[in-house]
Amino acid sequence: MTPEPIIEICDLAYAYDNTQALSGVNVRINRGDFIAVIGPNGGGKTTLMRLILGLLEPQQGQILVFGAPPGTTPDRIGYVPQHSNTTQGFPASAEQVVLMGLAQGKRRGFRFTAPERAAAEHAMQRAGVLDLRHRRLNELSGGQRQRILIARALITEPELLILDEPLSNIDPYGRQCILETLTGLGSHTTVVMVSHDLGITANAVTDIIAVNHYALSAGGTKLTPAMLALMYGTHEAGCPVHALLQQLVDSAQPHAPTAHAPHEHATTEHTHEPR
Amino acid sequence: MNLADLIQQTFMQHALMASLLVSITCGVIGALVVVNRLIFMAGGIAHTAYGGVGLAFFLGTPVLPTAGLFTAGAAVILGTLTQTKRERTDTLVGVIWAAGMAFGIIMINLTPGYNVGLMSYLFGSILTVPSYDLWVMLGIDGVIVGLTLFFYRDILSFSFDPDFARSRGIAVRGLYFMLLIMVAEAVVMMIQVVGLILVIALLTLPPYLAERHTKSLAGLMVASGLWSLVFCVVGLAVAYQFDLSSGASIIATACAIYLLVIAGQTGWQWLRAQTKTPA
Repeated sequence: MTPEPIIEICDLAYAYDNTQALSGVNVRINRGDFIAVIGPNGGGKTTLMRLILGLLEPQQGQILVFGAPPGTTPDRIGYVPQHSNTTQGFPASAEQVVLMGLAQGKRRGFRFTAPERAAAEHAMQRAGVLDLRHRRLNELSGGQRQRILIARALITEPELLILDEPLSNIDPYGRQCILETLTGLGSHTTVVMVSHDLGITANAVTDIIAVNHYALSAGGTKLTPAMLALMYGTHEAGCPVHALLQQLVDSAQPHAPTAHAPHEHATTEHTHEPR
Repeated sequence: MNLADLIQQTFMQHALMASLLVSITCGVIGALVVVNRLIFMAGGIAHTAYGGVGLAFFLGTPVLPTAGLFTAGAAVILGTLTQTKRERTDTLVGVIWAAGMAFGIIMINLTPGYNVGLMSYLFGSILTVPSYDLWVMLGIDGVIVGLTLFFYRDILSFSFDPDFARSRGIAVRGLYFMLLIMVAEAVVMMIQVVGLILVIALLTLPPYLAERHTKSLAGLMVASGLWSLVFCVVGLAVAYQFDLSSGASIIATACAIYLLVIAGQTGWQWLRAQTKTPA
């Protein structure tokens, strides 16, 4: 059975003023995939996520999300931005932050209903933060706050979850908790996660996409030399950088068998079986 | 004159009514200005209001409606410019701030006669609020509270995380402009009480005090409104008792209470730390 495409990107390009952020990007992500998007700072990872979400308009090429232009299916998408983007010290309890996930420009009213609160409770349960529901946001640790933001994205039961560096500035225990939450979502939810931490994400993901103005897929959880060259440049054999990159290729293997067997593909087109 | 007689006076009833009406707006808009970090922007809009006051004097039209329209227009221009050149927000606010003030001064220069009432818009004059202005204030209160209640969920989401709000399909740009126009109208309403130079203090001090004890945006709005009412009433009493300028007395009272609360909290924390430390 042909896997259902969730995101289809064709010949995408985007530039900020005179700086080219992305060029010639072709990506296809199928239902049930768990994708790690990696790459150097300034390589265009966040730009790619913002284009997929419809927060930016493509200047060239096409993006389809659930077969429609980006931004037209917000109810089917959950988004977890970099948590530094959120207002620090905002007067809100964890539960209120999760309930913000229900805002959609259509539902009005000052008070949240009992079913809406039940949905928030369910989302917090899934994210493992139900016991924090009455705590003020600024009383929580970075990892706890990040899981609250994940619960906010999960409250609408999205089919696609996009996370922008959810593991940055989080301690190892917090990272593990977040990854357990994400891997426990089941095949209903396709996950696309920007991450710098190859070691820890390799255990959880079904595929890796390297982004540095251009995009390359690993077709599995193993980094290829082409991806490393895209991210960090080409270095001659024998030089220290080459040795380091080789070490990265060798070390970026799953530490244990993943729940989702990696597939052998060398292009950006994935045909994974759903999780 | 004793307190009972004083409250019987029309000017004092108007002043107390104005304090209440301003505090409602101050609570709602002050909370939104602080959580959205629009304090400098609000300061720019407040000073631009002087252009509207000058225009009203020049045209001979009622000050509050004229200044309200003028300031709303300036807020829309400022919002458009800052959306286009986000990295230049502080420069653009500075330009609009100065341009509004300059326009107001020129309008006053071109107005024949000596405009003695002008000072009350710079430094406030809560004891001379006419009943017509009270009705305008009530109308502004109604619109601001109504819009905030109706769009509360979207405002909450937008204030906490604009990117997330946009990803949910919320018209973030529209909300931003609505917020700026509400700030403009709140400012125009408050210049009667504390004057446009001191408006920013009444918008920011109450939320600063209130945010220590509130767990929600709505709670912050209510608590800020209550603090604002305390500042206005106590400031009014101080002004009457010592024959001082009412606007300056309200702000001085707010600053004094703020410092007292901070000192009290610091002292309480120090005492608790001392009692917990083993001998």
